[in-house]
Amino acid sequence: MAWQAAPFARFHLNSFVMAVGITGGQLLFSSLAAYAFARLRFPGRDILFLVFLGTMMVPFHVTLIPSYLAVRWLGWLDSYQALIVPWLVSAFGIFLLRQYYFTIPTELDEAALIDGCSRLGVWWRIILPLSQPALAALAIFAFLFAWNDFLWPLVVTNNPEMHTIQLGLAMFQGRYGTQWTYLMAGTVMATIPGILAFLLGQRRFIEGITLTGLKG
Amino acid sequence: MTGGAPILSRRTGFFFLLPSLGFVSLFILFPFVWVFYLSFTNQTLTGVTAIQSRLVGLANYHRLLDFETWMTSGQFGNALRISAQFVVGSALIGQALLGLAIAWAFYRWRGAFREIVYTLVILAWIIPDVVVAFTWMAFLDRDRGTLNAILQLLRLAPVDWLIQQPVLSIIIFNTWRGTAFSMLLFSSALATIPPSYLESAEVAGASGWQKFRDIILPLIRSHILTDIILITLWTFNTFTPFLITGGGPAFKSELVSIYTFRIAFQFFEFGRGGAIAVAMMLINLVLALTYLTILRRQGVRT
Repeated sequence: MAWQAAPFARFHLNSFVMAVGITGGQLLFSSLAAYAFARLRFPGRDILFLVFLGTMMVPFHVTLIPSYLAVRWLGWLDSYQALIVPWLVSAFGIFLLRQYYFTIPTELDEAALIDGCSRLGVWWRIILPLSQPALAALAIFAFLFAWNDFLWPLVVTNNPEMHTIQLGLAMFQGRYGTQWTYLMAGTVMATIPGILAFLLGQRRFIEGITLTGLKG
Repeated sequence: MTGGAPILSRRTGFFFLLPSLGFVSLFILFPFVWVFYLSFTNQTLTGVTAIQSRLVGLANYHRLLDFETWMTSGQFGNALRISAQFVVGSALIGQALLGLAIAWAFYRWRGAFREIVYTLVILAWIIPDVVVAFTWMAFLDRDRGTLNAILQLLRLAPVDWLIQQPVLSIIIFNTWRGTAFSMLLFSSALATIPPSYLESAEVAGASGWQKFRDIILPLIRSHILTDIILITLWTFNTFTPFLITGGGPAFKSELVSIYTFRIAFQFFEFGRGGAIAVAMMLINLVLALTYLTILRRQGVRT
């Protein structure tokens, strides 16, 4: 019944596209950047790293208005790009992975480089396979964040076709406020993917938090 | 400390960083600068000033900090006061203390009960905002809420929590919501303390409180500060209470984050919203610097 009262299938699809896009992007781009910060030496590296760390301190509300204006200027309102692209990079992810890369012996990189492997090859064939626990932790953080996000989809989507499940559910609450059975059904549907993601990677998730508390 | 071959490879380095740098510039650094500019204009979403906005100097800031009216209902000072209560109540007293208490209670107690408590606390943290907001509205509802049903069993008068005690309601909500992070951080900190420290104290006849104060507390001091920095900033910036009270009734639970949202995305006054955003950023900066200074001083002493 709840399924017919609102396009929940569409909301789920939108949330899923958004969460998978953000998770994939953060894994790819954060691991590349973390590799540069952990293993390469080039001028300006430490300053750049500080800039990235600094962005973690900027609250989302501060950049909300200009980000919205930028997305509108690009003509992206009510699109998947608007939901995904601003979140493709996470300073937290870069920090987490960099910490982890320091625990991988550099002799492995060096051996591969001597054998003629490129830097990109080292990243892809050696670092990525060895950092699966950290990548898993980041993937869970990113997926949960994206799946549960409310404010950004609220601001950049107007068309119900582009609403995420959280937004759809909030609207649904407003419209069918007294129909508790519908609300319960919608609520359960919105909760399950996040809980599944968490249960699948519970150990990694907690390890990720433990890494945050370590001194760099 | 740099791993790998010591190659001065500017090109390779930038190749790896290019995508991240691009996104961070476009969606964090550039907006960060732009919001300062916006805060000096009268930019809006609709009307004449949407197309032809102009510089208005400090007018937005004057309006924000007009000390005649700023503590009145629905103004910036009022929002600031509510945010301060919210941060002290739910982050410092609520999450940090409760998280520490749970972690300490289960310090040497493994087994099923610990797993159940930890799982429940973590679940409260990862369930989507919209869902927990709905559950809490149902819990606090005046006529059919669970809390009032319990009060009635105890022969106490029902309370319309969201109307009569909106700030207390969101403080308790946010404590329930966010304790998991502190709990996990503290329990990983406690796990690094060798049990022998406590055992020797017990041999010497130390009480539970003495062990906690004289052994545990000094050893996890830096974790406590790290935790407090993070949860203070997160709590100050959180938007979730909006889903429960909408900032009301009559702006009584309007946090600064909700105030910004109302001005920028309900009134669509981007210039004024920008000024509030800049003020929020300064407050964040002051909070972070204060804690970091304390952290550094503590580091020197130990």
